[in-house]
Amino acid sequence: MTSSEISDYSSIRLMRMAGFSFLGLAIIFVVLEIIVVFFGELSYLSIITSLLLSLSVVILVLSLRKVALQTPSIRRNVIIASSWLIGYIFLTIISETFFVFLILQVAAFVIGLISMLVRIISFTQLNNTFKRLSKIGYNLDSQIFLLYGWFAVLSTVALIVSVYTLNLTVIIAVVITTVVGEISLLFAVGYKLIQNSNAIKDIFEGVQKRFLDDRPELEDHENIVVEAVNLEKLFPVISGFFESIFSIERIKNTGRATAKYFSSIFSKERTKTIKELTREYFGKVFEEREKLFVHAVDDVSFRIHKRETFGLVGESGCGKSTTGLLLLYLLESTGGKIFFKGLDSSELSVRELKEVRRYIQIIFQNPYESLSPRFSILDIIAEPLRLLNIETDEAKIEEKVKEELESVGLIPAEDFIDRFPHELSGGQRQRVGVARAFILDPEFIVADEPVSMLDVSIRVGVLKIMRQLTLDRGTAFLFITHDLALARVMCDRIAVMYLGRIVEQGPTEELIQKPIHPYAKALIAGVPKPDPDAKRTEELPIIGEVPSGIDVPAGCRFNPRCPFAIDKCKIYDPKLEEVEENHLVACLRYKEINDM
Amino acid sequence: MALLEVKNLKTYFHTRAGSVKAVDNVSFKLGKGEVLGLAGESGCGKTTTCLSIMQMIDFPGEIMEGQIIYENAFEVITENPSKSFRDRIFNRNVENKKRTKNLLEFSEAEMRSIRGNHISMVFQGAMNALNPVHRVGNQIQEVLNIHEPELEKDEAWDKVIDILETVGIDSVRARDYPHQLSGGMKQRALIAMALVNNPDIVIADEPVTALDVIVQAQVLKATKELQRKFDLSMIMITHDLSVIAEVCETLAIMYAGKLVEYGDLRTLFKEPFHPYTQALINAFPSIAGPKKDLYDIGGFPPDLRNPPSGCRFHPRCSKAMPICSKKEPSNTPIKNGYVACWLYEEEEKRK
Repeated sequence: MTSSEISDYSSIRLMRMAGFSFLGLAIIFVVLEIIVVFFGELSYLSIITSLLLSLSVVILVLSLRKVALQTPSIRRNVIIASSWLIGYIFLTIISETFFVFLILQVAAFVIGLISMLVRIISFTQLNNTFKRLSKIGYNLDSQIFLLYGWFAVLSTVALIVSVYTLNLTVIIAVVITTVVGEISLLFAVGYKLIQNSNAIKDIFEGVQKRFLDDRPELEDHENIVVEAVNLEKLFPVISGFFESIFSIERIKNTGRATAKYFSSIFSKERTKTIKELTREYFGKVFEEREKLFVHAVDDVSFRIHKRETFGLVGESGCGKSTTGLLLLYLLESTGGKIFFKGLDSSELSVRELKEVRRYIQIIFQNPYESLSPRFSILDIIAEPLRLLNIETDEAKIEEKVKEELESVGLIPAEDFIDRFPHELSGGQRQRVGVARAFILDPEFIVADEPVSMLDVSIRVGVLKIMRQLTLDRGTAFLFITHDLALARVMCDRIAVMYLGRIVEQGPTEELIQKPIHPYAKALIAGVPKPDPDAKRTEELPIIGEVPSGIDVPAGCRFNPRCPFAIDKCKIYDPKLEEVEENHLVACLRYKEINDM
Repeated sequence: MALLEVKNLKTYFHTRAGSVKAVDNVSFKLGKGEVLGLAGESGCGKTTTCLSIMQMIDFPGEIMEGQIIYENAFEVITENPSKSFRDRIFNRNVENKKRTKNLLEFSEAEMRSIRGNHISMVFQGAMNALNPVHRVGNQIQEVLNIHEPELEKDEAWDKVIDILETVGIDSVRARDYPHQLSGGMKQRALIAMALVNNPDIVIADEPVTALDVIVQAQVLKATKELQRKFDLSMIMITHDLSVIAEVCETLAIMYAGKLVEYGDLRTLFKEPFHPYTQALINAFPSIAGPKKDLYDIGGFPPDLRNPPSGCRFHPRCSKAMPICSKKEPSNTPIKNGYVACWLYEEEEKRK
C-alpha cells in the first residue's frame, strides 16, 4: 500500500467521521432541546451546541485537508468560513453569559442577533466551499448546508420571539418545528457526507487525470476539447476616457445641447415632456461612455474537437489573436466562458490554471523573436519539460528533444541540438517553435499566424508538419490566419471573424466553395491567385477598411462596407443562424443575396 | 529600346566569415511602361539587386562588377562633378572617363539627382517607412523640395495634394501624422511619395506584404491604374507570386543570388521551365478550384557565403542530374527570355 493510498483511506474515514458527528450532533440536539424545554436553561446549553457544531465542521475540514485544501481558492474559502464560525461561537458565548444578568439582557439579545447573522455568513461561506469542492470532483450537496444555516437562524429567532410573547402554545409549536427541522436537516447533512465520502477517491487520482479522462458528465460530447461560450473581451481606452471628459468637441457639443435644451423647454409650442427632452439632448453625452472600450471580441462561441483544426480568419484588428490569447488564459475575458475539457476556466485557481496550461500550448507568429538567442535548440525545446519538472533526467530529456526534432523534420537531430537560433533559417526556427509546442503532448494548441513571417516556399513544409502532428497526436488546433488559402490547407472548419464577431462558420470546403456572408465572399475574392488571367482586383465588391473597434457600427457590424446593406441592416444585429448542417451565418439578407 | 538594362551585376557583402554573394551575375532589361516582377525567397538578393540599381549599397556591401545602363542618364550629368565621400570610398573616377550611360560610373551628386527623381523606390514595410514625427504631406513635399528647389511652397503643396488624391487619399489627410492613417493609406502615401516627381522607373520593394488581403487588393488595383496612367516602368519585388501575377508583365525568378528564369509572365505561369519556378508555383495554396495537394520544395535556402557548387538549386531540386553539382548552367534562351538550367541546355545541344 503506497502512502497516497493510506492518506486516501484516512481521508475517507475522516469524511465518514464528519458525517457521523453530524448525526451525533442531531441526537445531542434532541437531548439539548428537551432540556431547554423542560428546565428552561437556555444559556450554556446553546454554547455546547455551537461548540459541537463547530467540532463537526472541523472534522469535515480535516477530511478535506489532503487535496481540497491544496487549492488556494478552496483554502481561502475554508479559512473565511472557519473564522466566521469562530466569531459565531465567541458571540454565542458572550450573549449566553450576559443573559444571566438582568441588566445586560438587552445587550445579550442584540449580541445574540449579531451572532446569528455571523452564523448565516459562516454557513454561506461553507456553502461556497462546497460549491467549489463539487467543481473539482467532490460530489457534495452544498445546498443542504445553506438550508441548515438559514433554518437554524430562523428557528432561533422564532424561538426567542415566541419566548417573549409568553404564550405557551406558540412556544411549544415553535419548539417542535425547530427541533424536527434542525434534526432532519442535521441528519440529511450527516447522511450526505457518509454517502459521498467515496467521492474523495477521485481527487487522489490527481488533478491531471481530471483533464485527461472523460468525466462522466461529459460523456455526450467527450470529443470537445475547447469550448468558448459568448466570449467577450473589451479593452478600456484610457485616452478615450479623458478625451470624453475634456475634449473641446465634447464641451462644444454639451454647450450646444444645453442651449437647445433650454430654448426648447421655454418655447411656447413644446410637445415633449422635460424627461424626453433631457434624454434627447443629453443622451449623447452619456452614450459616449459606451464607446470607451475596444470591442475586441464580442459574443464569440465555438467548439474545437479532438483531432480537429479550427481556423479563425479575418482582417487584422478583427479580434482573432485576442480570441487565441483568451483561450490560452493569457488574457482574462470580460464576459462569457471558456471550457477546457468541460472545466470552466473562471472557476479554476491559479494553481489549477498552471496545471491546465501544461495541456495548452502556443506557436508564435515570429520565429525570429520567439526563440531566445542565448538558448541552444536543446534548451529551448527542453524548457517546458524542465519548468514543469516532468523529466529530470538530462539524458532522457535529450532523447525526447531529439525525437521531437526529428518529428518536425530537423534531421539529423544531433546536428541541431547544440546550435543557436541565429544559425537557423526562418523555416527551421519555426519548426523549433513547433517542436517546443508539441513536446508536452498538449491537448490544445493555438497557432497565431505561424507562417506569415515565412516565405511561400517554406510555408508548405511547416504547414504540413503541423497538420501531420495534429492528426497523429489527436491535438485540437486553433489556426489563426488572415489568409484563407492557408486556412484551406490546414483547417477542418473555418470561422470568419469581423470586428469581434464570427460572421460565418462552417466546414472548410463548403465555406470556400459556397460562401454565404458578403464579407466571407469578399475575403475569398480578395485572396490573391497565382494566375495572371484571374482578375481579382476588378471584382472586389467591398470598399474601405475595417472601422475601429471603439466605434462599432450599429446594427450589423459589416453594414458600412456591405454592398447589400439596407436600412434593416443598420438597426438589427444579426445572430448566427444555422443555414446548413454545421454551417452558421450571421446575415439578415443571406437568402436574398444568394438568390441573386 | 530598353529603358534600364542591368548587365552582369555582382554585389557582394564582405563579412569576416567570407564574402556573401548576394547578387551574382544578374542581367535583365526593363522597357518603357513595362512592369517586371522580381520574385524569390527571402535572402535571394531581390532587394540587393534593386538597391544596387539605386546605388544605395552601404559598407560592407560592394558592387563588384556589372553595368546598369539607364537610357535617360545624360539628363542629369553636371559639368563639374564634385567628388563626394561616397565617391572616394568606392573609388569612382568620374572626371577621367568617357561618359557612358552606366549609372555605376556616376558621381554621388549625380546619383542624388537621379534617386527619387528619375528612379524612385517604394520601400518595404509601410508601417515603418514613414517618419512618425512629420506630417504625411510634409514628408512628400520634402521630395519636391530636394529635387525642385525652385518650386514655390504653395505650388509644392498643391502638387502634394494632387498626388495624394491620385493615389486615393483624401486631401484632408495630408496634414495627418502617419499613426493616424491606416496601413493601406500609409502604403498609398509611400506610393505617392515615389510618384510625386514623375519618375521614369519605380522600384516597389514588397509593397503589399504587410497588408490584409482586401486592402492588398485595393492597393494593387490603385498601383496598376497609376502605372497605366503615367506609363511607368516598374520593378515589383515580392515573394508572393500572386501579386506578380496580378500586376506584372515580365517575370524574373531569383534563387540564391542568381536569376534562374526570366521571361514573359503568362508563358512562365502556364509553362514554367526551371524546376524552382515550377515548385514555387505549385507551393502556392490556391483558393479557387478543387483542393489540391501542395508541393513542398523541401530543404532550406543555401548559405550564400559558400553557395553550392554548380547550379545553386541542385541540393533541393527534384530533377537534379550529376552535372548539376559540377558545372554552372548558362542561360538557355526560351520564349521571350532565358532559363538557367541544365535540363534545357542539354535539349539545346541535342538540337
